[in-house]
Amino acid sequence: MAELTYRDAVSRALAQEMRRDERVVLIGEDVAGAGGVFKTTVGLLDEFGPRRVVDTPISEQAILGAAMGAAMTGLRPVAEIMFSDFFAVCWDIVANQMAKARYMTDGQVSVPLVIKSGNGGGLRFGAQHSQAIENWAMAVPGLKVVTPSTPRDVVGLMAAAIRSDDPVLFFEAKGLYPTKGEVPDGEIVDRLGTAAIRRPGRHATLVALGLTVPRALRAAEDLATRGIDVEVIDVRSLVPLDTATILASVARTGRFFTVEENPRLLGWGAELASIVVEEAFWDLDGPIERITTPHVPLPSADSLEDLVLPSAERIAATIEKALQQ
Amino acid sequence: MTALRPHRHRDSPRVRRRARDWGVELGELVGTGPGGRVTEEDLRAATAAAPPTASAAALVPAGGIAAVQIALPSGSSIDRPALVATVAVAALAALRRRGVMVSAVGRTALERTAVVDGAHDLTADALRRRLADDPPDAPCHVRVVDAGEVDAQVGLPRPGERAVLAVGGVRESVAVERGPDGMVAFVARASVTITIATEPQVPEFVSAFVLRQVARALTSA
Repeated sequence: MAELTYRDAVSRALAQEMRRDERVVLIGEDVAGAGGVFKTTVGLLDEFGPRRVVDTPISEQAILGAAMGAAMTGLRPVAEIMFSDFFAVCWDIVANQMAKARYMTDGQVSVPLVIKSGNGGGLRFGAQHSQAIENWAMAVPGLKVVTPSTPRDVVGLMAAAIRSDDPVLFFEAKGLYPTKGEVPDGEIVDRLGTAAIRRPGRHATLVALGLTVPRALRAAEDLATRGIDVEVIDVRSLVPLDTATILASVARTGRFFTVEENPRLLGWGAELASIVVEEAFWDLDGPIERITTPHVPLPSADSLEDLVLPSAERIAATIEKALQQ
Repeated sequence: MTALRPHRHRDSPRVRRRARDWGVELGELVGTGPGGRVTEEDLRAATAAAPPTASAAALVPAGGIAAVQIALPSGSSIDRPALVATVAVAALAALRRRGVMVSAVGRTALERTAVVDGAHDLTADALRRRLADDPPDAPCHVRVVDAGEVDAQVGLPRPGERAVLAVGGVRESVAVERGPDGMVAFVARASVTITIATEPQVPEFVSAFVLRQVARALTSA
């Protein structure tokens, strides 16, 4: 058992899989010599050499085009898009090519690749380098969408993503890179489509993802001091989605809340709310509420960014008020 | 007659369902929740004062065979495949809600078994669509038997199955009803008997819950 940071867990995960399978290669801007702009690929060039850890020019389309070609011809690449905001210049290849290749070729071609990307805010990077875009990604059929919230999950979910035979968008919560957690020794492989109950509770179900998981847990601890017992679920994987764990929790607690970093309109919590209403309406003991970033470009000013991202205080206040109404 | 408080459906879906399950008239209760809403505790207090009439729960022995007769909505014209599919979907959703993982569900006409892989990941609508298809045979955890005209008779679960649900034939009977104006009328009532047989490890409250869910699905169809 070792204590690792979230950022070190990324390179630990990549090394685990690259040692196991020589078809796993890493490609992206500054992933080799520089060890990644967020230092998530440190040491990989030294261990695996320049044929398996490849620096590219500043061209997101070239990175993903090369990765897709490699995946179609037998490798299992991990491509890095430095900031997830840059997916905006990649959607043709991601949404029209990678996600559809299996279907357009009558199942003859699969695209086993992972696109890892720093996602979300909290680091004062401004509106073009801070977006949480998992809701863009989950709108495209054919893509899997994963966001770990702990160093252990970074390793386990990355391993599962690399072993998936279909494209996986692996969003690393930028705000969590310096956070630490215990990671067991030895190989760790998780399963996509499984949520984790981080804290059991009786009065409300609070579903969080990535950056909002530790905030949800802090809110739950705060509420516990006032007699409100909140169950916190870490979704971990939006596609595939573990509806069974979520619905079973709602059946127990009767109340459902989401806390999302993405802007409000059509955030992932809206889809979950829709599923809960359809599948667990008669278990609900009050209205569903979503706690989100408002529908604004993320401000770069410290005070404003802190204001719009869901804080532990806002989460706790929202739930407490809702349970009193 | 008890004066009913104005009832504007401020009570939550959960409380309304519990009230129906436990035979409590919501309008007769004084709610202690926010805004005068009835809470689960209010319902518990009400049922403690006057225990509910026989519910599915009372009929279900642990790990045994239990049956409920469900009155179908008047004028309903549920065809057999739709009836069996509705039972299957309701049973699956109920088991899932009780934390029983179900990897497949059967839809049979006695000898024919259809299996849906990964059923626990599907929404109810998706499951209905999948049940309409004809997937290949495979072991399943819950078998739904179309007992048809022979009425609800069911064997015990086979190895690997958690439960068997048998859907009996739709029976029609004649009943006498008195309308609000005092007029007496003869009406035809349709009902169906659903039987559940579970393996011994399945707790009785799960069986009871499944039967209630099935009854609800059929009466709201």
